[in-house]
Amino acid sequence: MSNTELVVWQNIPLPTIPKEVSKIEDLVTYGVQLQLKDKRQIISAFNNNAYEMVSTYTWTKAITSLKNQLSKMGVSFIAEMLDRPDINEHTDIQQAISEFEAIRLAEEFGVISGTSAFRLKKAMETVTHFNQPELEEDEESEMTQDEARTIVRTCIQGILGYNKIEAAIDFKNFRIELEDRTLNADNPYILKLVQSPYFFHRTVIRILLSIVKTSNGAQLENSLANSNLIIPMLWGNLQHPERWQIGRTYSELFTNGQSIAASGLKRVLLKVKGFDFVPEDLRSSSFIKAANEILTAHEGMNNFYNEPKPVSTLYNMGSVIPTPAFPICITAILCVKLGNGYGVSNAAQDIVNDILKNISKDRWIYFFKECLQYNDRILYKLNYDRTLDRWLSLFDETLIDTVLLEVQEKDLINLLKYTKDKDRNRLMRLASQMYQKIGYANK
Amino acid sequence: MKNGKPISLRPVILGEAVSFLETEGMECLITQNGIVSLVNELVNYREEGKDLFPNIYIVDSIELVLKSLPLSQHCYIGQGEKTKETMLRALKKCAPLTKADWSIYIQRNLDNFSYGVFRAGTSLLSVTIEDSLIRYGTEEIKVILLHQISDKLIEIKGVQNEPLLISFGGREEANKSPIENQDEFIKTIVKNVDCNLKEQTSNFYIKVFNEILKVGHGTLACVISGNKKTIPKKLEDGIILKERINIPQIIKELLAKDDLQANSKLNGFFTIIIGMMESDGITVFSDTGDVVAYNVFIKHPDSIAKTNTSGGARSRTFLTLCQLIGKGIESVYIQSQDGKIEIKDNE
Repeated sequence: MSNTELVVWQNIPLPTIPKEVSKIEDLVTYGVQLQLKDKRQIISAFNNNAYEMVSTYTWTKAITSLKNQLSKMGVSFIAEMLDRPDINEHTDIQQAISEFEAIRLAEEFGVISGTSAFRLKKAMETVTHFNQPELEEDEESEMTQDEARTIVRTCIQGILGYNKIEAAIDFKNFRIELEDRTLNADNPYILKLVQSPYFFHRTVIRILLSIVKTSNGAQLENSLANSNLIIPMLWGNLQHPERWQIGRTYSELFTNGQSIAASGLKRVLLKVKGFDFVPEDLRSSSFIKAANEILTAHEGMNNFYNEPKPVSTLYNMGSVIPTPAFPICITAILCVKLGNGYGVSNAAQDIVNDILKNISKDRWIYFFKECLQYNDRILYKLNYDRTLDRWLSLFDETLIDTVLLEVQEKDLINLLKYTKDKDRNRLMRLASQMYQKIGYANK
Repeated sequence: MKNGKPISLRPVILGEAVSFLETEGMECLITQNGIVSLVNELVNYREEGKDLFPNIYIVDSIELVLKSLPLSQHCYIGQGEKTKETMLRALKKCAPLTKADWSIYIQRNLDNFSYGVFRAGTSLLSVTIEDSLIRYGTEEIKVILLHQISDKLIEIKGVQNEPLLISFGGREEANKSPIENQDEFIKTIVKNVDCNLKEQTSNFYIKVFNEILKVGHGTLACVISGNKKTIPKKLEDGIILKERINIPQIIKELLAKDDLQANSKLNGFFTIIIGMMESDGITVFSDTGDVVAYNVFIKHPDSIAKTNTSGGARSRTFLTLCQLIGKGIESVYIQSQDGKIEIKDNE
C-alpha cells in the first residue's frame, strides 16, 4: 500500500533496528521483550550453529507475544474479526488462531506495519518448513545462518523490539467512535472509509458486528445506527463471505434472543435487500468450523502432518457444502491443494482431490465471481512459484472458458486468462497487485 | 310488547379496524370485515372441547416475512376467494395446528387469500415472531397480529398502531393491556441479572407469564432481593427450593454450548416454572432471575383478613404482600382467573 493512499488508519513503523546492525549479539539488544536469559540463549544457540533452534525459539516468543496482545482486545472481538463463530470466551486464543491469522489481524488493526507483516509471513513459512519432522537429515535441509539471522531480526523488528504493541491510534479512535457516537455520512472517518482498500471495509463491518453482538444500551443503539449508515454504503462492493457474515450474525442474534440487536440488523438487511444471505439452517456453522480447523492446521507447525485429519472431517460431513460455508470451505481446500512454498501434505491430497471433484461448475463460477477477488489467502499463494504452479494445473480450459463468460471484473478476467494460458509471470504480477489492492503489503 | 334494544360491538370494532388498517397502510374492505369476524371467533376459541390461543398474522408477503425470520418453517394449508369466509376457514383449518409455537398466516393476494402456519427460531431463547414482526417491526413488512391474550380479551397489533384491546367482558381497565403489567413485574425479576443475559432472561419469563395468562389460571408471585441467601421469615411456609432455579445461568450455558442438552434443560425448567405458578400459593422469584420458592402461604393480618375484598383469599394475600414491600419484598404480582393483573413494586 503506498503511503499516499487514503486509508482510515495505518501503522507508522518506528525504526527499531538500524540497517547496519547484523551481529546476533547486537540484534538481541534491541529485543526489549526478551529477558536476559532469552538473549543469552539466542546468542549461544546461534553461535553454536543451532539455527533451527534459535529461530523457532525467537519465532515462538514473538508470535506468542503477538497473540497475547491481540487477545487483550477481547476474545469475542477477535472471533468476529476472523469470522470464526467457533471461537468463544472459553477458547484459548494461542491454540485457536493460526499464526497467519494473527499476523493478518495485526496488520489489519495497524498493530504492525504492512512491511513487518510481509516479513513475518516469510519468517513463519521458513520456520514452519524447517520444523517438519519428515525433512531429510542432510545439509541441504538445514537452515542457514542468514535465514536464522533474518528470522531473529524480523521478530525483533516487528514485535519483540517494542515494550507493548498496540493498534494504530486511528483504529482505536474509530472503534470508539463506532460505539460511542452515531456517525453521519459527512464524518471524516466515513468519507475516508468509502475510499479505502477492501480490508478496511471488511474490518469495519466486522467491528460493527462485534459491537452489535456484545453491547447494550446506548452503545448498542449507536452501533446499530452506524451499521444502518455504513453497511448499505459498502454493501454493493461487499463480497459474499462478508455478506454471509452479516446474515449469519442476524440469525445468531435472533436465535439467541437479542431482540433489539436483531431488529437493528433486520433493518439493515431490509435496506440492502440482503435476506438471501441469512442462512436457512445451522448446518453451515459446522462446515465453517471444520474449514477453520483445516486452516489452523495448514497455517501452523507440522502442517503437512496435521492437515489430513481435519480435511477428512470436512469430507465426511457430506459432499454438498452449504452455500454460507462455501467461501471458507473452498479456501481451506485450495490452501491444502496448493500447499506452501515447500510442498504439500501428500497424505491429504487424495481426499482434497475427491472434494474438489465434487464441486460443481456453478460453484466454481460462484467461487471466481464472489470469493476470489478479495481472498487474501489464495492470492497470497499465487505470489509464489511452487503454489502458483499447482494452481495452473488445477483448472481445465473448458471450466475457465465457462467461468469467463460469467465474470465481469477486469482483474478476475485477466486472472482467468493468465491461468488458462499458463502465463506464470503475468499471473504472479496480477495476484500481487490484487493482494495489495485488498490493502495488504506485499513487499 | 316493547322492542328490545340491540347492542352490538360490531360497528365499534369495524370502525377501529378501518382506521387501524389505514394507519398500517393496509386498507382493504374485505380485510376489515374479516378482522371483525376473526375477533368474534377468537373469543374463547375452542376446538374439540379444548381452548386454543392461535396467533393470526395477516400479511402481504409471507415470503418476505419468512425471509426476515431466521430458521423459519412454514406449511401452506390452502387458499380461497378473497372473502371473510376464507379468513374464518383459515382459522378453523389452522388453529388446531398451533398448539406449540406455530402461528397462522393469512396472506392477502391480489385476488385471493392464501393461508397456512409458520414458526421461527430454535429454542425458547429465540426472538419471538411477535417481537420480530410487530414490536420491532418495520413498515416494509406489512403485518397485523390478532390474538386472544387472556379471558375475553382480544388484542390487535400492528407496526404503526398502538395495540387495540377489545374486551368482551365487564372488566375495568380494559384500556391497558395486562401484558404491560406483566412486563413491569418481569423487569423487577431481571433487575439485577447480568446485563449480557438480561434481555434473554426477560424474554424467557415473558413466555412463562404468557402461558399462565393464556391458561386463565390465577396466580400470585413476588420478588425478593437476590442478595439474600435466605427467604424472608414471612414467606417460609411453602416449598423452599434447596437449590434455586438459576435461569440466567442456564441461559448462559445454552448460549455458550448451543447444544440439545442445554436447550432441553431450559425447556424443562420452562414447564416446571409454569407448574409452580399454577400451584396454589405464592411463587417467589429473586431479582437476579432465580426461582426461590413456590406454593408459599402467608398469614393475613387482622386488618386485611377482615377486609371485604371481592377477590377472596388471593386478593387478601396480595394486599398482605403489598404491605411487605420494602421489608424484604421488592414487588408483588397478582393475576386473577379472568386475566386481570395488578402489580405493586418498590417505586
